[in-house]
Amino acid sequence: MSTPAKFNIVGNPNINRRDITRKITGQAVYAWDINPAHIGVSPTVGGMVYLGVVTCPYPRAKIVSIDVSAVKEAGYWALTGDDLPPFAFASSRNSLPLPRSSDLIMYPGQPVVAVAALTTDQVENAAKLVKVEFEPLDYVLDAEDALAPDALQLYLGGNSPAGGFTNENGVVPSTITVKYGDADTALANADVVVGPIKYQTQHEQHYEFEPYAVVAQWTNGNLRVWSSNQWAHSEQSTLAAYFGVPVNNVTVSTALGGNEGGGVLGNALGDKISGELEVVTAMMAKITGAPVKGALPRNNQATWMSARFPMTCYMTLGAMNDGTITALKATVYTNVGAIGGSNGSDAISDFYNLYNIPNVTILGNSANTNRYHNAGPMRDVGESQGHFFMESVVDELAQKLNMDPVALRAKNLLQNDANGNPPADPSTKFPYTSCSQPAAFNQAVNAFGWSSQWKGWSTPSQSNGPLVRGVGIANLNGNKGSVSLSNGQLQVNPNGSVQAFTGLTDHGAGGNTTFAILAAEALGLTDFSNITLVQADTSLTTNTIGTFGSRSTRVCGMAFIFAAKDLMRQWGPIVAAKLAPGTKASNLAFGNNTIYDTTNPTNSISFQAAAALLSAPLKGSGVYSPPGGITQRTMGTKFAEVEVNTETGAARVVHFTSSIGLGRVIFAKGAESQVRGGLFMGIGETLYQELYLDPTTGQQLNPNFHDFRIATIMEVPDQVDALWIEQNDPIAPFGAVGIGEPVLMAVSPAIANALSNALGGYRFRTLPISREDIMAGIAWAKANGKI
Amino acid sequence: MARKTDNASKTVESSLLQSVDSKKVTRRTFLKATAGTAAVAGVAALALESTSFAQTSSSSGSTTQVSNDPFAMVPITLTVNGQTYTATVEPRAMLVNVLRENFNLTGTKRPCNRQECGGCTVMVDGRAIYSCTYLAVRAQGHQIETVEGTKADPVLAAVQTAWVPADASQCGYCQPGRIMAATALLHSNPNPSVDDIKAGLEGVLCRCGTYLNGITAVQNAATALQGGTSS
Repeated sequence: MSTPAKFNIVGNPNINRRDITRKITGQAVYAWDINPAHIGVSPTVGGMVYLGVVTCPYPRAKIVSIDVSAVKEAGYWALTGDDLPPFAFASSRNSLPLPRSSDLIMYPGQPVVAVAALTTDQVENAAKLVKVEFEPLDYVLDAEDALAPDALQLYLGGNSPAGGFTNENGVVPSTITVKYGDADTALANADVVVGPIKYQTQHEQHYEFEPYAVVAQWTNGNLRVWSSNQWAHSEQSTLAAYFGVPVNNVTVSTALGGNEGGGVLGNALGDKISGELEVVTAMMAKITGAPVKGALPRNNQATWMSARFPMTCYMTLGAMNDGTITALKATVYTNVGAIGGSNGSDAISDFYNLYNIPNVTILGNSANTNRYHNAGPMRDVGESQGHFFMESVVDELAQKLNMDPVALRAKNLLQNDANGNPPADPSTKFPYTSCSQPAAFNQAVNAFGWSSQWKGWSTPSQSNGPLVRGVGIANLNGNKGSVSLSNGQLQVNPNGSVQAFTGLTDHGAGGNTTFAILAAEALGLTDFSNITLVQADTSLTTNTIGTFGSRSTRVCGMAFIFAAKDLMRQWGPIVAAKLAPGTKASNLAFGNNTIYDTTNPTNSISFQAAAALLSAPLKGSGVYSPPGGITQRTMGTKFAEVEVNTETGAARVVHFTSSIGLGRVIFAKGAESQVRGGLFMGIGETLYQELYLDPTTGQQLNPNFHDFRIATIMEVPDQVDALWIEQNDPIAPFGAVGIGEPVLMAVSPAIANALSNALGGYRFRTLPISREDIMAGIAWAKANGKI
Repeated sequence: MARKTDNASKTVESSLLQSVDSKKVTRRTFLKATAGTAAVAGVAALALESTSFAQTSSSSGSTTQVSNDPFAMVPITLTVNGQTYTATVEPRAMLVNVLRENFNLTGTKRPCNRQECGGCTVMVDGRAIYSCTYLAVRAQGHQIETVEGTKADPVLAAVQTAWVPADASQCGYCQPGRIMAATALLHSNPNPSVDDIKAGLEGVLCRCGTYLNGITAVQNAATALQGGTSS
């Protein structure tokens, strides 16, 4: 991809990841790594106290007794819910960091008692001294079961968090989330109808590599917290509210915060926006009078933090014989765990946007269960699941019509109108700010070589002894990366160095490099070596929305663009006085490492020399709020070629092609790596990842990396094409669109559709697709003479 | 890097076993001892400077003093990246914790603590091992190499250098393990095939999905070490 000459640094393919050397030489200190020495505390035993939790294994239980006397007698510390002030987190259900003795246990692995000791090894001793007795109670694990008329009621008023009302038959009615046109009539008039077909997606954990960690210290009524969070400013306000202290008395940073390199995260994926661990750790710090480190072990991370919610969806699609889709009806059940609210119904139902469908009804149902703690985003708020439902049923429609699935999709694809205006969301009528279909679709179709690979519905794309191959497609269209309130600052110092301030952090996918490129571009610099990032530290940065929703590129970029304008407003008159006589400050602009007169570009001064004109550091502040009534989309197309061993059921992705309309590429190497990374997470989500509960006891069976499998290096495909289209979104910094979550979306249906093609059209409707499922598909394909 | 004999660590381990055996510790007395010492440890340990980041040039204390008390602190001396470090730790202390908490070498990570993910991989005598399940006392007398050892090992330096242009790290939390596994691979196999690289790095998981870029990085490091130019 070439960079248009008008950019100074944006899109430069040679830019390397800014923080990589510190991370791969062990210099970067993540929150989970913080030792006493890192926060200026004496590095002796007792300089820092370590936290641990004792959990309940049952999905639902009464606490019969809690006895922590032995813990305290042994010289350790213990904390129960009764020691905590009453407080409810922002959730539709009251949620406490630890249960009071009168509360019921609501999910397997729920922490009940926190303990603390002087070394990490002694935490285990302390935990063993806790005596707690539970009385296991009945429980409900599945969303549809929880909404049945005779279901066990977990809450007064029912198990639906969406208001909790029931009809005269005791049934919780569905919430209509999307309705336009007349789906029932359109289905009655359709030439062909598929469905209702039941699709299911699994309960997953993020398993970001650095588990959640919080270090908390009280000094004279001020609370200092270093944690592995995605949104330091939000954590600051939560803690201030909890402990009843002014917000300014609480300082929170991502890891060590401060200047360049302090704010590192060992990935987050949506898992690091909690609050419970912060509160318990800070309370323990209050009790012990020492800084306390709450660094979760992997099994606690799996049960205490949020999880990807399991979903069930019934899909019905109507179409004409030529493949024109006329109607969609869907009913979605979302299992939001013990305390989840009515979760993300908008995001989940957004899949109707994938094609131009005139008649749509989508019913949403959320249910509280005892399956797990809390529903949370996991590299999107359910769009991956929505894409699996939609792109599976569209494939089944193509199969029923015996149509090429690419041709069917091409027929129904969204695109700009004849005047070049982007389409609008058919339900909200909000116009898209840009539309990268069909450009991304066509690019992917050609790069993958679809026309030479597709052999028809009943024929694998290749057959070689026991190895058969199939090909599959899935489209991508997510309401992702919308610009929201953006703010940040740029400070120029007389020596020419720059500090770029942002409340955002970087999960690790490349945000820090992207932020630095955006700051450099806003100031017309061709490299970022003189720029220091100051990020995610409430004592230094201002609150901007945290790093999630694929929006940090846009939020950060808009803030820096406006900060650069503010800087020029102050700096321009000083510079103009040194340029040719009569130079107007209002004509000055940043570019090519200079400040120049736009009416006469040779009338310029180097950035460095212009900085030397300043007698003191100069700070520009940028604030931007986007207009309402728009929808910002990330669109694209993904293809997978999958090989199945028909003797063993082993499946592997051989070739993967992704084209995403990313508006404008900012950090080119990072964008490519992100697409590749999303593929591996998608392979895991499609073939392996699921948290299992014992069906007879409801206890969690695999909160670890061994039994909850993620993709390994052995899953590396033979070929991966990470492509993009630059369509220039007008309400975005330099035209850029967010891709953090879109790299995962549409991977699972592309693989599932390819598996189906390999096995003569056998459908895989439940994620993950296990070896057993594939063996069943092989048996079916053999019995029906397909392979 | 030459492999050294394991004798030193065997001595330590067997003497530990003998001491436990000679006292004929039953599970009951063991648990009793646990509870008893725990009460003391909470207070007494405050006085110890056991977790100070002592780094000395002396090489004393290569043997371990063994107490009858299974929780009694023992002084240990470890050679990490060619330098000598000392600490006083519980015999059960794992190498990963001693590196991270006692020596402040936090480059080595502990993402799972049960040898599933490989994020804690370090080299002991040139071989990649999971430090989360490797007793610190066992590592005495051996050459330990961590991701901080760039200056002590040109192969490690070449791997780290190759990692940058190949963009083989994202969040970075597994990368110290991946880099040490790659370094151990290139020590034993200077010219690995793609399948060799996959086998060599299979023991370290990565959630960001940097596998593909990592293969390129290892290939480029191998080329550079053989005097070639990386692509």
